[in-house]
Amino acid sequence: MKFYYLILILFVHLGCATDSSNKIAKALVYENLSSLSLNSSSEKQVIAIFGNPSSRSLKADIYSLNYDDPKTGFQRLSLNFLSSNAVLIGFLWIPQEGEKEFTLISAKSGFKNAKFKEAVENDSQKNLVFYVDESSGIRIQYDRDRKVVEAIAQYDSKLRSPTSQIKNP
Amino acid sequence: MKSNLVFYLLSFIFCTKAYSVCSSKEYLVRSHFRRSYVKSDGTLVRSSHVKAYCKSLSAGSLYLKDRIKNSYPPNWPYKNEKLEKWSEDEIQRMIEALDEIPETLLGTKIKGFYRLQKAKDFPNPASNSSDSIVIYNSAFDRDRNLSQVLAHELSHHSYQNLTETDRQDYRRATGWQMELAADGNIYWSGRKTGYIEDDGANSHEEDFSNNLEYFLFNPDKLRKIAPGAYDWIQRHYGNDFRRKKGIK
Repeated sequence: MKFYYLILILFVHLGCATDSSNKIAKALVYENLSSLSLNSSSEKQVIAIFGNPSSRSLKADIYSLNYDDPKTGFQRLSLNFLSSNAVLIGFLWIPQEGEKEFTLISAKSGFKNAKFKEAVENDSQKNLVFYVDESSGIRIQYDRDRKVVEAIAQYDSKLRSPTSQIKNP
Repeated sequence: MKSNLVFYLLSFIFCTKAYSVCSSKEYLVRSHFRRSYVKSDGTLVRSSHVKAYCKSLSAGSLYLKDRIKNSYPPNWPYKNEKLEKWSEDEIQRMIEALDEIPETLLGTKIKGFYRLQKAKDFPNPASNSSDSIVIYNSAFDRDRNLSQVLAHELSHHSYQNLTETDRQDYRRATGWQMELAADGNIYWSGRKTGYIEDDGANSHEEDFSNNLEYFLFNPDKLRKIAPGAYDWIQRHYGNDFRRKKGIK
């Protein structure tokens, strides 16, 4: 009888362990970002969707929750919050090879109302192009030589004007 | 008039013969003046007049064939940098330097090696664009290790041609993170310390190129300063990824 209890406990334990790791992996998908709203969603809501972050960082009056891929350790997602009220003000998503948003067309198609303007960052990195929609604060970083979307970001565009108060890192 | 014709005819025959003298496994080194330089193993090569001779084909000579260009690279933005013509001496130095570099680094996407006089950020010896490498006068300075210069530039191309998964893996191993600033700008943030060259902190690509260069030319220093980069390069390129000639 004791043996059966032991097996049962072992099953429950293994089940929980598998379930929690799957939860993190399953939650770390691009589509889940659509359930968040800038200048509204809280840290609690973010953690409810994506689980506990891999790391936290703080710069000036902004803190970030950083999520790495549990299998590869690659950086996947960073979410910025204002320290004063713990409200989400921006996110940064790094697509991986094979994912839908890895291509520019797919990345853009995720934002149907956006009007993207193309911008080149600087002289030394002409291969890097940014597609920016100022009104929504969406920014897609694209390597046009390698035809790769390196990052998709969105920030609270209302916060852009008083940037003097929010110091760049 | 007749004597001129005979002279041209003889010159033609001589040249044709000189070409045909070399076997299919050789190439012709034209007569030239060789400037003094120090080989990467520390050997001093004295200046001298070199007579034309046939030399065995090598990985470097085959790679450089059809890639020597006497023009600006396509879409080169710095037109203030003046053109220079390749000399036979420089081509031979290039071949010798390329022969030291592992063949996996000799990327097929590079269309040409271009020769300009002086970099806008002198004394920078070389530069690159998407499918070109530019070599400046200073690359041929007596004590400059041309092979190391080329290895660095080729490493830029190697990084460009890594898969995104490999690039992400390199960045993970060497502490590069992408961050979103308060004004919406995306930027790269590197590790705080452990750069083999200071300019590596400017970008992960520069960091990669410096690290790969040192992996080949000063591996002990790289292992000490940036062990994460050393391990990644060894894992990615394998144990055979070494300079073809030993360091003295």
